[in-house]
Amino acid sequence: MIVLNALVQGVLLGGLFAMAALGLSIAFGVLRVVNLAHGEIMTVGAYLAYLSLSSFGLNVWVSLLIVVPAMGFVGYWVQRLLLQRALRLSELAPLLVTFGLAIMIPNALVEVFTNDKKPLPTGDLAVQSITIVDGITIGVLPLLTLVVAVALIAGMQLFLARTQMGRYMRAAADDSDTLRLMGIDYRKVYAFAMALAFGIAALAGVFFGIRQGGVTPFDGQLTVLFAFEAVIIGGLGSLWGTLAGGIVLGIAHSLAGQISPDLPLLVGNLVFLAILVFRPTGIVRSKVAA
Amino acid sequence: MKFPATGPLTSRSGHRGLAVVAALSATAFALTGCAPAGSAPSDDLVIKIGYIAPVTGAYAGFTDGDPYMLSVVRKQFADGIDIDGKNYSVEILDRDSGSDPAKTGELAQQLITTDKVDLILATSTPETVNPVIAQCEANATPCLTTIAPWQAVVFGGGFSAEKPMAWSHHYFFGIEGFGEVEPAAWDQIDTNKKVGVLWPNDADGGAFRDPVNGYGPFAEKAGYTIVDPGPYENGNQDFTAIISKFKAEGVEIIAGVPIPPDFVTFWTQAAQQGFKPKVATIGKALFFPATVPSIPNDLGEGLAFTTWWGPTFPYKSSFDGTTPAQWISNFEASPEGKGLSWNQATPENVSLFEVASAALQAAGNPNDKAAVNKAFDTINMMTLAGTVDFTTGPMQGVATIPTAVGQWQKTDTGDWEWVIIENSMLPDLPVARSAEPLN
Repeated sequence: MIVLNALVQGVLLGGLFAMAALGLSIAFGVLRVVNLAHGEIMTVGAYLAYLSLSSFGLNVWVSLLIVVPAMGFVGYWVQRLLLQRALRLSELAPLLVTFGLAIMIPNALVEVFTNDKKPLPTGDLAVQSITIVDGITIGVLPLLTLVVAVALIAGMQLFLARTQMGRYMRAAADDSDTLRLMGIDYRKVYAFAMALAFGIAALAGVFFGIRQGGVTPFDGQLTVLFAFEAVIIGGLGSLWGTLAGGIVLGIAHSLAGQISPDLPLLVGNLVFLAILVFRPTGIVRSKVAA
Repeated sequence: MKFPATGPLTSRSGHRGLAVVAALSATAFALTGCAPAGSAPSDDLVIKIGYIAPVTGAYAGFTDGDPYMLSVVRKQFADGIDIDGKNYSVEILDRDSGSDPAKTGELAQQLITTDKVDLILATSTPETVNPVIAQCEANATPCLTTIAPWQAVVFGGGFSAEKPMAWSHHYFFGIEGFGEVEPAAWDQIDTNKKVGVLWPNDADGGAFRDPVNGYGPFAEKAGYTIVDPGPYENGNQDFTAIISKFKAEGVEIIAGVPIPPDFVTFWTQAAQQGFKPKVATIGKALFFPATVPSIPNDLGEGLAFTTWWGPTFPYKSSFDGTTPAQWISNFEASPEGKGLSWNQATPENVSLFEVASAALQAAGNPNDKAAVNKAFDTINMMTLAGTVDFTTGPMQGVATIPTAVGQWQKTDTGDWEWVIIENSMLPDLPVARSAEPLN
């Protein structure tokens, strides 16, 4: 029963990791941009939610209607004005730009919001739970997170498969030169993909904030590692792979914790390393990877 | 359609780059604070004090009251210090450690070799304090530090009773500051005396876990049993295993030094999984005043923590007699304190300057590094952050400060506040009420 409970908690934790990783997976898969500021984008999303709460008195869920499009807009222009320009210098330049953003954002947040934790209250949601059988309780918030993560991935997959912009994005990932020959402004396609990545990152940031009861400027640094690992374990560029990667990582953490409390992060990192060594394409083979 | 530029930088993007650099350096200037106003007098009577603190980065929370603190200190030193009938002007060179130990060491070295400071002050976490002490020891420059468990500074810095710090003085509490007061707070509540601990796999957790010099002996002396699930990593996302262990062992008390996000994760998961201890004394995580109110569903109500400063503490500034209550109201009324809640770090930081000022005066010649260093050994004085006494201490160059236990509560108007529930180390500190059990 203890192992079963650990498995259940691991899957739920995996939903959180997958949600955090999804935006990164899109940026990685379509744009080939390693966004080192991904965690910080999540943090900014959570701060925007806090702002809509404190300024307009919205509740956290309604604030998502503002936060996600707003961050999508930011992502669009970050790609067009910063990353696309950096790409002219060299392939590695966008990486350095995102690294710079990752340092500047939290310190700017300290200046604007101070270091005090800003609350994202959701009443008793964070502590509600459902007891399945004796010994297995499922937190409502983790369950909701998992459901939203799965829904997001399904939605993204449909978007990529069925819409014109989705097809452009897959084409840009496969062969952006040919896409340009077809007369498509690849920069707009890239920027749109980054807008999606930022919007989803902001959503994930709000969920992390709800889980922690609020947000502080340096929260992103802690979460970005898990997001990276989930993407790599799942397979670069595969969205369902990202979900699988998140769940594998979550289960690795929670099972390892049953053996000894000092193991979860280590075992998670070992799983990550093992994937890199033995199956560098990830557990789900990517369709878009070149 | 625009074509990619041929050169690495077009002139337009070059200008833009310059603008970005200018904006960045302006930010950096604002972050590090301005240089002191006024120029040094033409004669040589100047005292240069370096002050290193984490203004940016992960530990920046310790210094958000520093702009106000430094304005108070600069006002205090505006007319210089009179020592042996001579008036010395005081120049404070404040530097931002960026919460980075490597950068901190470089800054300390620059202050010593390039800026030729007479004395360095450093504050907040061993990551800031230890590199500064290492540079000061290597370059024979006196330094005074605080806000880091003294064991982490002394033993973590490679010092010992046989090989004490030669140029550095540090004052703060250590594990004893937790271990002596927390069991006294538990005693006020009827429990089975089983204490589940959250000691992470970091410097603090390791020091607390030490079987001889750690926390265990204090708890055992008071009749409590420690249930240690083992060292978990900071950033742990799933406390299910630890919670199951606490439940299985029937733990009724929680103690430890988790980082803030981990404690919130643990505490909400404990609630989800139906684990309800009767009392919890949490160090570190509850240090910042905004953590407890943010814990979901008012689960922060009744949490207790070890504290070293608050509005009712019987302390007084050596500068102008300011009491903690006056300091807090002045801070909140000041432009620098707007939008901030006070925390316990700011008064500790100002006390660095109080002690430094006293030692410089006691030294006779403040530019004589050896004399200043020696003068610290004679310090026994009241400051805004309490008594700093280097004449008696656990080791050469180390002074400890007393602690008490506070407990969080929600007022009738829905505001959060904490009150003192235990004062055995500080009998002059008024106790607001006795400890109340959780739930």
